[in-house]
Amino acid sequence: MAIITIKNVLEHAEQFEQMLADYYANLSEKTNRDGVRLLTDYMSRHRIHIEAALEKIPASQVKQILSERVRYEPQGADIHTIEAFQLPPNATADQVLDAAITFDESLITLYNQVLQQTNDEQIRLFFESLLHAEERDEIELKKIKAMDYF
Amino acid sequence: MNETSVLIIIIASIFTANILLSNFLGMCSFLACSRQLSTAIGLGIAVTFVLTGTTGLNYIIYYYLLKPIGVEFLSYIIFIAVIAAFVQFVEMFIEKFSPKLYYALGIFLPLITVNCAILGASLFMIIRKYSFIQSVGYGFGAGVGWAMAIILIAGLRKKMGYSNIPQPFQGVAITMIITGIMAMAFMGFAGMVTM
Amino acid sequence: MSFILAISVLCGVFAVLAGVLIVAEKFLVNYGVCKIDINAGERELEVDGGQTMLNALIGEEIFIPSACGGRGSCGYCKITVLSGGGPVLPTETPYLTRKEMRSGVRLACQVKIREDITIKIPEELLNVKLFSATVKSTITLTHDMKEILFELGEPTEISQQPGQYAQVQAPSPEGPVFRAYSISSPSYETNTVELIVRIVPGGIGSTYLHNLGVGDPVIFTGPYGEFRLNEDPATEIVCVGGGSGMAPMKNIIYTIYDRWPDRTCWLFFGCRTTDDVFYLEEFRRLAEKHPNFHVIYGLSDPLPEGNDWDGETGFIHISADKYLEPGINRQAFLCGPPPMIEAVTRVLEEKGIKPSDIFYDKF
Ligand SMILES: Cc1cc2nc3c(=O)[nH]c(=O)nc-3n(C[C@H](O)[C@H](O)[C@H](O)COP(=O)(O)OP(=O)(O)OC[C@H]3O[C@@H](n4cnc5c(N)ncnc54)[C@H](O)[C@@H]3O)c2cc1C
Ligand code: FES
Repeated sequence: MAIITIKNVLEHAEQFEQMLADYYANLSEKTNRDGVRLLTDYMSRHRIHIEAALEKIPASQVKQILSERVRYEPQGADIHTIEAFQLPPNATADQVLDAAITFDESLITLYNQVLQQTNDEQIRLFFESLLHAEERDEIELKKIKAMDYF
Repeated sequence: MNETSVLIIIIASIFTANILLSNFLGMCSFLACSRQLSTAIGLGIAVTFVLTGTTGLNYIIYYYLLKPIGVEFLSYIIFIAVIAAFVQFVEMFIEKFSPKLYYALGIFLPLITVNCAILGASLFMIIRKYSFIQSVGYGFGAGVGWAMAIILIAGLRKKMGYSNIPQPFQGVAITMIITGIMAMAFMGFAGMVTM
Repeated sequence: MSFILAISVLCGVFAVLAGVLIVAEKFLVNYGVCKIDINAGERELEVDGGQTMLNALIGEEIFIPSACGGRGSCGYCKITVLSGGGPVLPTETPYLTRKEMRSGVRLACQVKIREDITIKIPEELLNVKLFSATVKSTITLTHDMKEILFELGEPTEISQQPGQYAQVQAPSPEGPVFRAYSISSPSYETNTVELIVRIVPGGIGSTYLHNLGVGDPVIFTGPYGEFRLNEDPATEIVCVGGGSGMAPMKNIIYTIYDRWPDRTCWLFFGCRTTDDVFYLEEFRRLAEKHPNFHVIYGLSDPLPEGNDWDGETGFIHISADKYLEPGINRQAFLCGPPPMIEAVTRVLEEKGIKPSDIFYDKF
């Protein structure tokens, strides 16, 4: 069990978000379905939750938050999560959405882990807003899936 | 009559005879609310306020009502009722003047009612035969002592968040152990003053 | 004797304590009557202090949108508090952006009224009413869509604009919740409200609505929404819907042709297969009466062998791109999943429609 700073956690999550964006962009290029292309193109451009959450806190607090430390057991939200979903070029939109929902859930787990450990009000609020963004994203994906448009 | 000066009582009840660390009273909210420094400070202040107020009130009720009539055996139940009413009052007060603190204390405010440190202080004041001034002083000192203990432990727990605690000791277990060590450290003050 | 004494002392002390508490409550918890000033004096309310802003406003029949029933978990009930109202609570921050916090936006269900408060709410919320109604008819449109018609009970009339929506109350294990549904009946029909509802598996609101039978009572508030139809008949209207996004379009189209029989209006509707198609015949009949009404349905799934589909294929933004001439004065209303909205918006902007003339509901 490692002890790392919030900064490390965020770098990890940011890296994961970047990998996701690349993953969607890659799918968008490879797919032979218009719907999947439309969807993944959209998803690859809407993965900037961490930046948005950081903008909510005053710059003076950012540094303090980033240097706080938490205990961290590396699990989920990494390259293995994505590798478990190597979709073929003819994957359907539903398959893509299922994968995307799983990715969101792995980030939700990660943020919950941090939330459970921290005593600090500022950090809690910060991770709660990240968590909310991710949960909203998940609901949006579920809605898109239920609308059965792609 | 107990002849100790009020100042001595206050200092003694904060350091040498800390109600939490030497009598181990009020452990429940001590463990539950010490995870966050700001909550600990808020609760500490609230407990101090309630302790000071209730010892004074209970003193008056005991010596001017119960004792003359000869129903001292009612003291337990009446003390508890007074404490409950007083806590209600404090709750309304905090809600009115500091909604933020009210929100942070959440369900722990009503919990003060069953904080045994508060009943304990009222009972000690009777056993030790304090005068009114001494009682209030003792209540105040006990409150400050309790507040200090919970603030200290909250700070320690914050630090502990980053340490590698073996699985079986995590959570309340390590907090109890640390409280024990803290209590021992406070025994170092023992020679300073006595009650 | 001593027993009686003890009991009377006990009762006496308890009575005194209770008395003190009641007096204290009068002075501390009772905030008296507080004034709420809405939109700089447009309305002034006098409400009992101590309750939440959301409840106080609902008590005065001002229905702020709310989906979670005041539990602070939906973030719909935003209002702007200009003075009074205390600090922003930790329960609210996750739903507010920094900019909103700076300009005084709060969640109405978390603001407790303890003093006189000045607030700002969107104008049209002041016209929202609570309706009780009964189900008049239900029609199954496709395997997952239903058209549900309500007959208004109290009040008997609704004044709604195309593009607006209602909040239907649905029972849930944790108390009533509200869900938004666009009104699909044209605005000249003032005694009824029609909704088009897609079932969401496991969804509270949509399941409740789908299970309603004729004669069942319902409660909803409305109308909400800021969309205003361009009143200039020379401006063309473009409606683009996908998935369950048909309801507002139907309202817009029928309202237009009631008022301007010759106005030009385009309807683009995208779905996946012929199984998802509904209202096509109805709209084609309308188009025969109004030659300037153009109906284009597009199917995005590859067509099976030997079908007789005579509409478009491919995604709906592609059809829109194909049919719309650039450079014409238009107002557009879109409704569907966010990626569709984005794709269609891009097409429409290329056709020269100003972003300020493109409205959308993301479901
Ligand atoms: C302005 C506006 C207008 C709307 N108009 C219509 C309309 O005309 N017709 C219509 O059918 N719906 C409409 N909706 C959507 C509707 O309000 C509900 O969100 C939807 O019916 C699902 O609610 P529920 O209570 O059944 O599901 P919930 O109990 O809220 O959710 C159940 C599950 O489904 C997912 N979910 C949540 N919302 C949706 C959704 N919209 N679609 C798919 N899955 C979802 C959630 O992740 C959840 O896990 C509109 C929404 C808005 C904001
Ligand atoms: S009503 Fe849902 S957050 Fe206020």
